[in-house]
Amino acid sequence: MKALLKEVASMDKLKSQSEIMEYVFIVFFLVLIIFAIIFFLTYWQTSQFKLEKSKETENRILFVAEHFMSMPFLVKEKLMFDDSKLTAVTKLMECEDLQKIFGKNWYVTIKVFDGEKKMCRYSNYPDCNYWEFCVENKGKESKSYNFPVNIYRKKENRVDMGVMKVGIYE
Amino acid sequence: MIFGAIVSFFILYFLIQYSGTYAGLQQNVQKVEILKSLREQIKQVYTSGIYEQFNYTKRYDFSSCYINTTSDSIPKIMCDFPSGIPIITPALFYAGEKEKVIVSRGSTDYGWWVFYFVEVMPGIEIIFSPLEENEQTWNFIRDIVYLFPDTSDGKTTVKIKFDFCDNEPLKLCNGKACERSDFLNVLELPHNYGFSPCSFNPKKNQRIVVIADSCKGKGGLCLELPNRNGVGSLYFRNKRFVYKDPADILCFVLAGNKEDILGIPLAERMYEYKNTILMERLGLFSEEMKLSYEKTKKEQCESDYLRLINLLGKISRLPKNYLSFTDMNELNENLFEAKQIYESLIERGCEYG
Repeated sequence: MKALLKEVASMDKLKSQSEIMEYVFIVFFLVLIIFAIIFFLTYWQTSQFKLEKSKETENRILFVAEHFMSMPFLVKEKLMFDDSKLTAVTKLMECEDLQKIFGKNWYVTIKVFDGEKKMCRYSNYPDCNYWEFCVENKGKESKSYNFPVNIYRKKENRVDMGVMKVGIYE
Repeated sequence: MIFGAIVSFFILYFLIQYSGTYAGLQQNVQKVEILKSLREQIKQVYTSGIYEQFNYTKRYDFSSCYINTTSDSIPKIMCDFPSGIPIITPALFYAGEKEKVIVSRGSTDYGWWVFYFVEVMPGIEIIFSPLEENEQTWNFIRDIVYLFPDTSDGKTTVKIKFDFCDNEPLKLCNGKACERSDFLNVLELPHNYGFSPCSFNPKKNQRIVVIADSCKGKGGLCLELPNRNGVGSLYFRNKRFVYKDPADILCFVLAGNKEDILGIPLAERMYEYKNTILMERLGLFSEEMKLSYEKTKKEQCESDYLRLINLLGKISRLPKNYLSFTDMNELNENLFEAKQIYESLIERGCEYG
């Protein structure tokens, strides 16, 4: 009888132990699942932020490009630069002055298609074909796009094809 | 059970407290997002020149918002909620109280340079009260009207309307105020009407613009006719300002009597912002164009080029106190002369138009 009672007690003990273990396992897996969801959501948020940042950079590039190609102090008409104005701006305006108009953290270069690169200074105009604004800081990471542009060569009264590179520092 | 009830009460209390704070915070976040979206629209309109309607401003009250500028930093949109959104596109900005707005581009053409700016405004009705009736008054009204977009094309539901006031608004177009194209036709009609001063109380989106030889003692917005250089005095709430182009007047028409949280009229903020940007750019670009013409002047037009170069150099050095009648008069005189020379260069084929 005593042995039977002992056996029943040990079985009860085993049963409660197994219930406790069951409970512990469930809680453990629940916590694991919660952590997994948290990590997944954090990863998702981070990748969304990166996507947003990339979109924002592209929008900035387009904004600077559009503005550059429509500003009366740079163009002969919309989408056609005036080389005399480009040259005058490189002489007169520092990057800080241009940043008040176009914002910060960008650079633009404009080059006529043909010929070796000759930086335009006021002294060598019109015998030049390359303009730089807010000179590129090669140490900083940036994203850039190239756009085909027209450049009106005022002295020669002709239009040349060129390429404008617009970069945004990240 | 009692313990459970107490714990539940505390949890409920903190939840409600948090929801209230969170809802307020989220509302501010949404307002800022709407303003950022409006800023993108402003950029688009600035480059394209095509006016658009923006609907999201209908959700909240943005009537306290204005663009603030200091000499060292980028202008920012400031409101009575945490904002401070940078905006580099020149904009005359009044977004109204829970209203859709129209975003259009205006300009001041100096010939050798054009100053573009964007106008943001809800539907408003501009009611002219001309106490002097002559050709100059009518031309003046026409110049002001031209700065507003023509909303009669059915593209937008926001309407900009115009009317005359003879004691009460006349409602000239089928019992209503006119849109721009119809109002410009009205201005072509013979005009010896004999208007009485406006004596009615304007509604929220109505703006009364009094035009008189002398504005002393007249409240609201009153414009004295300009001199031959296009410069005149403008009185707003009995305070005198100087206007030199229709855009200065636009600043006072758009915001009406609205004030910021410091009690400063938004119109004054707009006027200060617009002129700070304009004077800075005038100085810069007149010098730039002078350099450009020095290199590219054509022999057959040399004398005109030299006069223009001298004038541009002078304009870049002139004092630019936009509150001084004398300074603005001298500036405008030189600007008009420069424009005339530039136009003659175009006629002679020495410059492109």
